[in-house]
Amino acid sequence: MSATHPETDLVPFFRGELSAAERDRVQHHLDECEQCRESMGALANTMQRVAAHLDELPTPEWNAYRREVRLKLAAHSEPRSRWWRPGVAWVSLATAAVGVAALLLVLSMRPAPHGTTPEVDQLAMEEQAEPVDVGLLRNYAVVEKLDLLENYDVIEQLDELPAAQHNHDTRS
Amino acid sequence: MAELSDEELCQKVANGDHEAFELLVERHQARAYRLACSILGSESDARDVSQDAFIRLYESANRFDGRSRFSTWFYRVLVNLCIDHKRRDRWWRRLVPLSDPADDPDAPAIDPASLEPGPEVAAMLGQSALKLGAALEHLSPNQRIAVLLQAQEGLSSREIAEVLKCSENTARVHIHRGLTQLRKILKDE
Repeated sequence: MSATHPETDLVPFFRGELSAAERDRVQHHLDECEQCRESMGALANTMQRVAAHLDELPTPEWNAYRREVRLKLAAHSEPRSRWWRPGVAWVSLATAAVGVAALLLVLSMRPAPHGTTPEVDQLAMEEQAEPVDVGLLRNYAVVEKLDLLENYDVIEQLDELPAAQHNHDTRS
Repeated sequence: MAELSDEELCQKVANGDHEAFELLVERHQARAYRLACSILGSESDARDVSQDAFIRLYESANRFDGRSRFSTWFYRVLVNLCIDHKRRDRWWRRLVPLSDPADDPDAPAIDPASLEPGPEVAAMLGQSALKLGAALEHLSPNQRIAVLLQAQEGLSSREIAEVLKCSENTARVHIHRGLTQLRKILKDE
């Protein structure tokens, strides 16, 4: 009966892999079973053919093969060592930090959209800017009538113009 | 240094010893290449993947804990890389009819390969070897790897079970079924 044949133990048997108890059991079976004896011989023969086949496989030129291994190893380890070199890592971190800071600065300087309530800081700045005295704007009516290049003297003396002349010029 | 065992060399590699690494490559290059060639069926892929296995060995030598033989550990790395390589090629292999997965006791973690050896390999092999190479292609991936590891590396069923991440009994089934199927294919031709 096939179920009783120790088929999968035949190769381990002839290779000497079995324990003493297993070996005795298989040996006892082989003594009585011609089919298994034949089968074991055939398996051993096939195994030898496979081993011979592997020996016949063409092989590369080994010096070139090992040279390629060395090159691959160098190429494989180089990028990683360069990446983790401390100097490079710090420069990368610093660059990233500058980038993040620049981004935050740009975002913080963006004008607030219309309709939104101004920030407290923004209101304080506007209040501070109001009392600033701008001479040109105070005498805007005079400035408006001046030719640009010809009246530099007037512009320079603008603050000293008498109020009367100022009012006259304004009316004319 | 040449008299050191693989395990001792691997320990030195873990400490950054390039000479030990070179020696390990020299010792295992042919077997690693041939195993990859038999699994992948392509000379150029085998060259590439087996070299990658050595790179992986260099980088993870410190993870080799010495509980298993060096060869078991290294061939597990190599076989996994072969599996990954085949997964990357999966899209075109779906078009090819493949071996029956029902013959596999475990759900195979490995994608089946094409049915023909690569043209580069085929061109360089004799008729007999070519026939056996083609027969190997008919095995399920786990059967093929199990048979190749045992025939070439002499790995035991327990070590093959470690490589394939299955039980020892399952590894024995892979070997038995693989060899039986090979014998049948070669007898029929």
